[in-house]
Amino acid sequence: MQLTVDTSSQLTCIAIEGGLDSATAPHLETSIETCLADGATALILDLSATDYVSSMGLRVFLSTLKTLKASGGRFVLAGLNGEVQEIIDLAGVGPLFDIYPTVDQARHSLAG
Amino acid sequence: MRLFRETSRFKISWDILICAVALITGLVLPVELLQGFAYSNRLAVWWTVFSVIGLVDIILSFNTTVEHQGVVLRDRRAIARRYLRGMFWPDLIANLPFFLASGLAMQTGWVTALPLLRLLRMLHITSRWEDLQLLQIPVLRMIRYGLALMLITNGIACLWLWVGLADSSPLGWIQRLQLSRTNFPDLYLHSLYWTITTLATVGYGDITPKTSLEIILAIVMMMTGAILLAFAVGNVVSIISQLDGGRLEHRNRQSAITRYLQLNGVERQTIDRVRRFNDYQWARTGGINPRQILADLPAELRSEVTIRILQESISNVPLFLAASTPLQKRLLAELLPVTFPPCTVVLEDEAMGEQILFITAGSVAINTNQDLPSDVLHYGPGDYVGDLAFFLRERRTDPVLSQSYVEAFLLNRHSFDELCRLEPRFKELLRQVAAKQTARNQALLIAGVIV
Repeated sequence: MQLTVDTSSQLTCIAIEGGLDSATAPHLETSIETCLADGATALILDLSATDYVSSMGLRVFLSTLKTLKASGGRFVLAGLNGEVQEIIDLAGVGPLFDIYPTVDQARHSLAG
Repeated sequence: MRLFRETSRFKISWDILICAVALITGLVLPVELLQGFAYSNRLAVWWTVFSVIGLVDIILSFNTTVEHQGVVLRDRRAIARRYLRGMFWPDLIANLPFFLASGLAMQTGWVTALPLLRLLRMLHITSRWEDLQLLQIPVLRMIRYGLALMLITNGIACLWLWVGLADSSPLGWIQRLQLSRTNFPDLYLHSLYWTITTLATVGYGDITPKTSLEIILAIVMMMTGAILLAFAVGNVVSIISQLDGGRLEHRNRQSAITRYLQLNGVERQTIDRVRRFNDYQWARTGGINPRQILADLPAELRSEVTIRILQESISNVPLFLAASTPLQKRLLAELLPVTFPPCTVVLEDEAMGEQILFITAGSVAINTNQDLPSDVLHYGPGDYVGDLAFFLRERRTDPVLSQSYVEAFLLNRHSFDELCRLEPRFKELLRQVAAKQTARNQALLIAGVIV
């Protein structure tokens, strides 16, 4: 898995490439914690290159959502492929997330 | 004229009426015959009404579907052929001549005995009820034997009375007992009393045969009595044992299982659990193995019956409620009904999530050390469990235990893949249903509990 953190604008975007399983999810968690510590209040997860999300990955998503919601921030998912979308939906947690087809649409929505 | 169904409410009610008419005929007509229809004017209207009912019954019989060897005959010609070959002639002879004679102010003669043939009709109807399973067989047989005993006793009593009335010599039983001035109902009562004491092999001896005819009749009676009694006792015992036959069979089976388990050194506690589980299953199914019955049926009939049998269970599963009827049938073909006794591992930990359980009755709980609210850990009717490990294709972190007897449908990976392949709407349906477990699954995922 490879993480790319983009903090060039006011919105922080983390792109995840590859699979998000129990081995790689802690890296994402650390990365998000760093962003939040740096003052990020709006976070976009770019999942367009993510081919798999495990329960650990979902756990990181849900924890981040909980933290940002509590502090009045925003956390959105963008660019999910069919498989990842299906995992999120069938695990029943789909309704919790704001999900956008592309990162640009997510940026546009959060900026507005 | 439309065709009536043999099992329709109307036809069954009509058949009950016909049986009542036959029974009254069988009980009253022999008494009337003895009196040479002395009081026939009083009953003439009724005999005519009965004959009309009998004739209407003949018309109805030509217009009623007949079931034969699992096939329902709806073709009028086939129905008529079958009726003409069977009960038509006795029905006609029992009703038509009497109907015609009723206009002749009840002339006595052999024609007046013909309505007794209605008893054949009663026999035929009750036998059909047995074929069509309209009543429990032991109950129906009990009724039939009761009626037969009543009719035979009445018939013999009339015969004994006829012998007495026909013999005017001082040796005849009526003369000997100085009953010649007694009114007819009292004479009938004496005759019935003698018949029952003889048939029941009591034989008090206050009324005894003396003339040759009386002795012959008494010999026949005693032989008949012995046979009748043996037959009646045998049948009553058999019927009573059949009434509770299922329970008896279950108890014998339980006893054999217990003996087998004891011989193989199984602990008493486990034996008790096996016994309780079997009792629970028996109470639900009455000793019938639904899977075996369903397995013998063609697919279409099987799914229809399954939907009916599992109606109550299905109403507890959101997945079924949201599905269309064809999809419901497909789901039932793929889902496996399962039962778990209390305190049993329903889904093992460390195992790959290859199964989802849709709970229809009872409750299960995730057995975990994590501090989670009770409503997250407990699943009841309408909930499903095992979904996270199943959809994420991961191993379960904790086991799921039954807290009571649990009824559920089990969906395994193979069936899930089949349903996804054959029914494109299935996944969409699952998505809708999954949204109902959002709060629970969120809590479980954050706590790292995957089941």
